Amino acid sequence: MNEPGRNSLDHMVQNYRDITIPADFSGSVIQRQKKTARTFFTVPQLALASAFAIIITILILTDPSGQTDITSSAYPTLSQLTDTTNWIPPRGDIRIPSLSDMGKLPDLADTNGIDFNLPSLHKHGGAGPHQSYNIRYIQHT
Amino acid sequence: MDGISDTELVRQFRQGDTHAFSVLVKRHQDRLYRLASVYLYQQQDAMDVTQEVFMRAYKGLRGFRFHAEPFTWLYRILINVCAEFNRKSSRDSILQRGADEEIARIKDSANTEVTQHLIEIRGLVNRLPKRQHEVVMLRIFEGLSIEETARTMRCRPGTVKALLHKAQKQLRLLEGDIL
Repeated sequence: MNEPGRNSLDHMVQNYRDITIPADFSGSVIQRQKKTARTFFTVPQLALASAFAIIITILILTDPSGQTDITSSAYPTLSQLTDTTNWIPPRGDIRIPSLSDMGKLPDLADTNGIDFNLPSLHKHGGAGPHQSYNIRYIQHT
Repeated sequence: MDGISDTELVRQFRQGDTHAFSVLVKRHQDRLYRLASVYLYQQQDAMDVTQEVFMRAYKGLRGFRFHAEPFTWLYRILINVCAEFNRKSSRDSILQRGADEEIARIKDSANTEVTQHLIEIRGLVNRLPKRQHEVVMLRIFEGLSIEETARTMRCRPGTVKALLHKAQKQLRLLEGDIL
């Protein structure tokens, strides 16, 4: 490569290496709302979906654990999980402030007899420093 | 823990030292994010993909068999996740797209300095065949050694050298157009 070209490439490389992950990475989106194409459902599909929704609603309303309130304020936090006097309900989400805190999850699993369904990790909150991750956990049977 | 090798960090993580995972994340997050930023169109997508890589790594590390370097493993996950991401998004991989199409696509997005740098880089490497693209990103942009690049790409060092030679030849042809 000639010198101007070489310099341009060097600049590109330097600019590239200067790129760092945004500071709010740890609180960023895990599973963003996917933009999906408009979908047309058939009548049987709609009927099936309605029936499913009704069943889910009934299950929630009749939940013997009483954990029907799944508003964000009801989710246990990481500190609550470690607080044995304030034990979390058997269903719900664990909120962790950053991805780095995932390292604490095995300990929690060991001490509290829970396991984690990691694919359900999802974002809580909007953009900014108050974001956190919710991890749905399941109880060992 | 900064002086500890990735392999040792993985060993420690598997032995119950959960902090080791955090160190691994911090050590590789920038590099994986940069690569994802070039392989995908949007930086937000790159963040999502980077996190997905660490999610999968977290799940898989306990079964890691030390047949490869942890970064090589992370990189392969990244490539797979990027491919899945593109498939799910009904988009073709950035590797097959031209720079002009990309510029048109993101012209309405935030015109940040970083975005401009990424457009330039993509404009350069996206004109290369996939394997040459990879070798240029790893060897030239990430600065890996020939051996590291070969391990990461799962090929021989000689293959890396050959791909690099072809890529540089191609870039020379392109320099009047791009550089």
